[in-house]
Amino acid sequence: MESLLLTFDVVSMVLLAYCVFQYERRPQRKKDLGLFAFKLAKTSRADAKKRRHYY
Amino acid sequence: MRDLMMFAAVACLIPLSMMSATVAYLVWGWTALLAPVYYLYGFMQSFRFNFAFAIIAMGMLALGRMHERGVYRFNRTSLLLVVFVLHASVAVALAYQPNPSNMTLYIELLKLMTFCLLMPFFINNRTRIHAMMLMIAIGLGFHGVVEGLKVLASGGGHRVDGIPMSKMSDNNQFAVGMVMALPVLLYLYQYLRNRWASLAAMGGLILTVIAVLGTNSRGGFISMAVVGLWLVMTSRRKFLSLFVVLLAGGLILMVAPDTWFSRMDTIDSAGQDGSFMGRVFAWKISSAIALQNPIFGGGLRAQQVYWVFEKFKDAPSLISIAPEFAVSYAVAAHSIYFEVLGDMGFMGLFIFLAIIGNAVITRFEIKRLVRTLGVEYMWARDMTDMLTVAVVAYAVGGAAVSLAYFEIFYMIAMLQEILKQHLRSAVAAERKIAAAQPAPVLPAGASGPQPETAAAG
Repeated sequence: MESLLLTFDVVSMVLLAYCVFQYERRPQRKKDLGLFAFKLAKTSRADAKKRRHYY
Repeated sequence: MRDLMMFAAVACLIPLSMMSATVAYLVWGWTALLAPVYYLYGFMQSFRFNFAFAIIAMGMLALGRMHERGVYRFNRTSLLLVVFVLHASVAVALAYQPNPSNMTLYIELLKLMTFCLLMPFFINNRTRIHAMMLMIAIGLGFHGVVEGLKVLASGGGHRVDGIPMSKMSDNNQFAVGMVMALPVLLYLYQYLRNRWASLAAMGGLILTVIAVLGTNSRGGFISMAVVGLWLVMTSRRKFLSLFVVLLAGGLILMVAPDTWFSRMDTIDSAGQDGSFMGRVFAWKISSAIALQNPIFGGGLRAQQVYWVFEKFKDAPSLISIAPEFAVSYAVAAHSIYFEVLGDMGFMGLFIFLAIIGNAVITRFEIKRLVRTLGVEYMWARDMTDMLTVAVVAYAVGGAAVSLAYFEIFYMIAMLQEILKQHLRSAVAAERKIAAAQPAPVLPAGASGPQPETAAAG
């Protein structure tokens, strides 16, 4: 189990490294903040549902 | 097999790092948090992961081969870290000798500070900050997931003892480290757009909580409780947070094994508990060292050296303890505060507390900047809330463990600063745009402010 999880973790890091590399290479893609499975949401999950913001 | 897999990963990561300094920097941080050497048994065990990626990142920065390098604005956090490391350098030079840990720990501290002080060059926009959070989750969260699954698979019988080749080498240090990972995972759960990735962050968070329970660490439990309370107090959705915290508390009470309850019961009677009183004795030694060396302390891990321990075990200190609780062998400081106090004196402790306080104060500055910028930057408020929770977890949980030179705390302190700098740049850019726009032309005879007044406002 540990080996499997380690493999998953290492693959995740390689994937993240590749996504960051792609992002750095292509400035035109910066608008969508595209980081593959790590894609970043503009607002939080809850905010996206509620659309209500308060401080 | 693991070594082959790691070899293949390094074979992919090195070329990617050579082409992007940000990648090299992130992998450098990941190898520091993951401690891959502990999980390997073959030929890759001797490979210096951290060193290799640090050299690539710094080399590319020095050669100017970096895309969109961040502008380094000297700031409060950097200043505090530089002062702290300079103070540590003098403390190391004046340390009680012989002390084999003194130089080893100092080199580790230098590496850690180099990583943190270089962060503004590499991490300077939202995507890179996000990638940094992902790196922390992948590097630190891994330990929580693995140990959490082991606890689950053993029905609560597996005792988590920490990661021997890392800073989290015992169960208490591991518990504090994992509690610090929780807010990062919670932030990613909220801000990962991909549903599966978001659920993976939540799954990692639940398993990390189980791993903390598996440590049977009282400090870890108190730290986790404080994190829950802080989340409720600072959350934008207080009732939802309260519900989640109560639900988590209820689940813990339902699934935790009897051994865990009997261990937690000893919190009430800590004054009679040998394990706890051993720590108090360690604090006594630290404060005795600091009283004799108030400015620079006794050097890194001085109190763990047998002859230094013998010299100070009966010396005057800030803490008095009953003779039956006296320990006859050199022990670790068992507190981030007393660790720094013994290692670097009162002056060192003051700088260390300033670093912690600065990380918390930065949260309020970020909140103020978010108010200026509007809802588009609400992510920054959520992120700073989570980073502050991690700092609070460290400040509370660290009170009873020797984790003063723990990488993740300094990384988070610097990340808070970078977030603030990013928002300041955004505010400056908005003001520049507003100033460049022509003043509105009012219809003839309309009442209102004069154009000069409007532009000035």
